[in-house]
Amino acid sequence: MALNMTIIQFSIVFLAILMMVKTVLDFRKNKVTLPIFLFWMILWLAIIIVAVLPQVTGLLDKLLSGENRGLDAIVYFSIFFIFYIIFKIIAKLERIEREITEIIRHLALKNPKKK
Amino acid sequence: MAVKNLSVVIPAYNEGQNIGWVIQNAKKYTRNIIVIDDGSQDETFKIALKNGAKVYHHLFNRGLGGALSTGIKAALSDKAEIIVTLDADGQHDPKEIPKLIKPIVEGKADVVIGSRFLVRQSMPLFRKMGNPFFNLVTFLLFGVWSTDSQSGLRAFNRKAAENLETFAGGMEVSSEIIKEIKSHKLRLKEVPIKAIYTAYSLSKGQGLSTGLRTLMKLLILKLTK
Repeated sequence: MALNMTIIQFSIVFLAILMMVKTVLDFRKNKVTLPIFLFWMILWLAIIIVAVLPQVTGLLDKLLSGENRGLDAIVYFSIFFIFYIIFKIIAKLERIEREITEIIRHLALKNPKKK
Repeated sequence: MAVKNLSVVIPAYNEGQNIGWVIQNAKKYTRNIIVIDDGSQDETFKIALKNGAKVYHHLFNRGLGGALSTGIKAALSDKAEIIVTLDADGQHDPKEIPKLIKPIVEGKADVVIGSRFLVRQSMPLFRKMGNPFFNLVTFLLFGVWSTDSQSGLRAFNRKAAENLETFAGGMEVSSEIIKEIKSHKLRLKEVPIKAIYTAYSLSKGQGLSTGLRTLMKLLILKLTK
């Protein structure tokens, strides 16, 4: 069956494996924490499974509605998930900005200049 | 009017052109002039120092909110009883200071905002529309109505300044201050002021793009708090 893969399927699997290798390398260099590492590994693995065996989305159909809407559900979920991630990133960025300001303020207050 | 322990806080980012004038005029009311040089690339630091201000230097530009908060903290550690904040671009005439601090001296208010909208005055159309818009946004998000929520000319008594907890980095700090007034149940008064609009001071305030950024930051502020 694997031999019958389309070019798109093949490239998705290829890219996903590439990303997994990169994730493993990052993890080994301590660039990412264990939960993040596991999260990406599971995500890429899931993408490979869906790419190679699109039938598995049928399982979702049964779980969700019984109709043939499994792939739609995945798309909805992905969009929701992406928005969630963006929000988290903005919040984190904001926190980092505040922390930088705290440091800069601390340095400034320690060292007033007057003629 | 001579007031004991009055500090004037002036946040400044690349304001070398006007800061000297602002400091010289503010000096008529107090010796405690605090300038926060917010990572300027021009001569702001030197000019402020030369004009006799006490200058705190931010290594990098952190925005209005960051600089204002540094200035207020510095004034508090200088034992200030009344703190006036004013813009460094010359749009606020320091001669408004006595009028601004009067309600605090008389014990009638904890915070005073110098409002540009209490008397009729000419103002560029964009500002005339933009400011009420931000008043409305501030009201919808934080539940306090101010006729000039974005004004940079303010006075605080010590109690108010100590309670002020702002996290905002940029221009959105103005609305955040209003929110703090409400959450600490401070008494707010507004006094009419005249703003001096020059081509220079207009180039420094909020235009469309910084206005939009401020709006987005306010929404984030509301959502993450």
